[in-house]
Amino acid sequence: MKIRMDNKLAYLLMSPVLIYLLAVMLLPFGWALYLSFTDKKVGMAANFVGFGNYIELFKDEMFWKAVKNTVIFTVAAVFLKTVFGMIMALVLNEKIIFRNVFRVLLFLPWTIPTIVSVFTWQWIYSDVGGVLNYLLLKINAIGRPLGWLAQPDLAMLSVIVVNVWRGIPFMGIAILAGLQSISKEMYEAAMLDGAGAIKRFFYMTLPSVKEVTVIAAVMTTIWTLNDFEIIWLLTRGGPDNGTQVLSTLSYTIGFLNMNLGKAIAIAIMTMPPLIMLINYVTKRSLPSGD
Amino acid sequence: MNKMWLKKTVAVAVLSALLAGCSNGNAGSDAGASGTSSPSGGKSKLTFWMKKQLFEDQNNLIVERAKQFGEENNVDVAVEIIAYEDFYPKWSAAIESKNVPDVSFFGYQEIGQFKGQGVLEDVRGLLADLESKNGEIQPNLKKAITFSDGQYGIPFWTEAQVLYYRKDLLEAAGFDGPPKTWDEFRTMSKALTDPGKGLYGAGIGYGKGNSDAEFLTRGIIWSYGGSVDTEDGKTVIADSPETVQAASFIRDIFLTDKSTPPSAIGWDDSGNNKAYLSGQAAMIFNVGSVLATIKKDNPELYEKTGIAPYPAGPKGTFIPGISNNLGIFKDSKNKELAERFIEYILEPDWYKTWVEKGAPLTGPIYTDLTNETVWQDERNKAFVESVKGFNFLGYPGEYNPKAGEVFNLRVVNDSFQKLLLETSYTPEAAVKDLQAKVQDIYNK
Repeated sequence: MKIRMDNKLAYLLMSPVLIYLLAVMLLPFGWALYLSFTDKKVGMAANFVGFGNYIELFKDEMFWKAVKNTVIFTVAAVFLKTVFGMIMALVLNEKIIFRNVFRVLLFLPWTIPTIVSVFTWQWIYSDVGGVLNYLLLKINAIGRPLGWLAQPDLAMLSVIVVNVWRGIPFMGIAILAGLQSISKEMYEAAMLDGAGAIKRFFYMTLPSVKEVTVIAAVMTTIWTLNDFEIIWLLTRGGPDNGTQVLSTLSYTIGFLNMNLGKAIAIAIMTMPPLIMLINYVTKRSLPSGD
Repeated sequence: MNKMWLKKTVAVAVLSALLAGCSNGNAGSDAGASGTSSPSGGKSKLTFWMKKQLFEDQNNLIVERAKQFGEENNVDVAVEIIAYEDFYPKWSAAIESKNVPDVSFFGYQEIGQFKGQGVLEDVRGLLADLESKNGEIQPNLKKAITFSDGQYGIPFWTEAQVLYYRKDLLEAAGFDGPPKTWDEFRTMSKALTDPGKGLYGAGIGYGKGNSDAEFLTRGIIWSYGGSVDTEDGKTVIADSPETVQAASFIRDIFLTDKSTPPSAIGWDDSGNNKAYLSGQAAMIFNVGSVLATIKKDNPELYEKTGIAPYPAGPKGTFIPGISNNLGIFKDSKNKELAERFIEYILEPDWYKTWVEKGAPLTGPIYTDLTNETVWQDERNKAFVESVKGFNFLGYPGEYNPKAGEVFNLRVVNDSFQKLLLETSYTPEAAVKDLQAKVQDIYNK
């Protein structure tokens, strides 16, 4: 009897959270899933079309181009963010002069609103007064200003650079937190045994921060897969769809072409990798008994 | 074990939904907050979505006018000034939730698109009333909102794309006036281009989503005798030697002559403005916003700037019309009040002040107002005179919702971007692809 009462109390206490999850997440998600099986257009009734949207997308070259671009964008950006985040964390972990000032400066990109940083980068990439072209011309690396956002390959590189620039601080903070927990005595002992900086990094530092680095990289992968603002504000998926990723394609189809069913189908198709990544993070970060 | 698995699955699915939603979740998020409501027994409420104008004075005047209407009619008027690029998510959310504004701004291409979806009110009665009270509205502007079964918007102001040219640079290069034909434009652009000095003759941009380019490309194609639409509203006639000729002309300016800045293929709508203001481009095509800006901020450049209508092609001069309108959604809860509000906004004395605050960017809808002093200025004249030569999307056929959709999807821009980026992609192939894409839209 007591156990039943305890259960009731537990359900009562949990109910606000359950209602919240149901109302804010599960119901809209279920509704979105249903719409992806319809020909829903803005202002029109939804007719069930089964897997019609998914089949159309599978046959659409643009969809596969967006998939390819999404993979290139995500893999390149996450790899670079992890490498530079590691370097940043290692430098900031050292007792360098003005360390706190550097820490603040290096974390700044993360705190600046996306719109501000994108406009700044637009100016950096500009062929009129843009600092990047100016520097490259000065060192004779190029003969005439480049249109960084006007060629598909360069545009992809440019949006990756901005994403990396904004994302490094998160990786840096996460890895720096891991570095802080490594005991100084371990390093001193290794140094006494004659281990050089490279050996210390590969045999002591890296294994110690491996867990936090992997989790941070997976979290970053989820955010990068979903990144929309940087690409939309810089290139709108162009030129020649060279930076068209799944999020921009979904937005274009949903809000400009007003084809909600198909746009949601694209979003739904990004779910399996996201579910796998989130499952991975939760498994590694939460004890299995919890 | 099963319970554990279930718990994990639900947790993962919920978290995934949340993260997936993060990417696009903000679009249209505030639409619900601005819908109409009629508090029982209280004041009526009217919601007005207005496009954000370049000049703050015009935005302020609109807000004041709406407030005045509210006071005189005992109505709460909520005005939202919205940047054009934010309109689509808001319209989509509003139409879907049936929580629409009572009065909204629409470009004529959106009037066509939403009319096609059956969500706009026929306002021909209101239009007739306005003309009988206030005088004639320029016939060409009415063409853009007139369909076989009614009129679905009220013209609010017009914008015209004209040629901006640097008088000093043309003179230095030995030209005594602006180009009168597209061939002359190409010759002059090439002669003016000097990459060493960072100067390019043709400030034409083709970024994805660039609406200036969608209009300009049509203007060029039409002047060569081509089309990107239909004659009968059904059969697309884009694939013609004339359209190929126009496509070759544009390609030559970019790839053969290299008369355009390196970044031009990535320009958004502000690209050519920036290029002209910074001295990078000697000639651009734009609406009056550039002239108004340089008059205020750069008098020296203003003096050096000449304005001319579009150059002519083998078939003459064709100017793509731009018309901005007010419309009423079928789901509006205060249609009668919305009509009164539109009448109030278009009352000629107030309207004249408002439209002239934005001159030469915003041109008047009333024929009489085109004779006002401000439009007799040498530089402003071309903006109102161009309206008489306006052609609209769908040419040579009548403007129709499908033509609006072709424009909104930037199909022409996408085809030309590819043409200008891939050297092996010929104008013939580009035009064939364009034909197929546009026909697809008309077939649906």
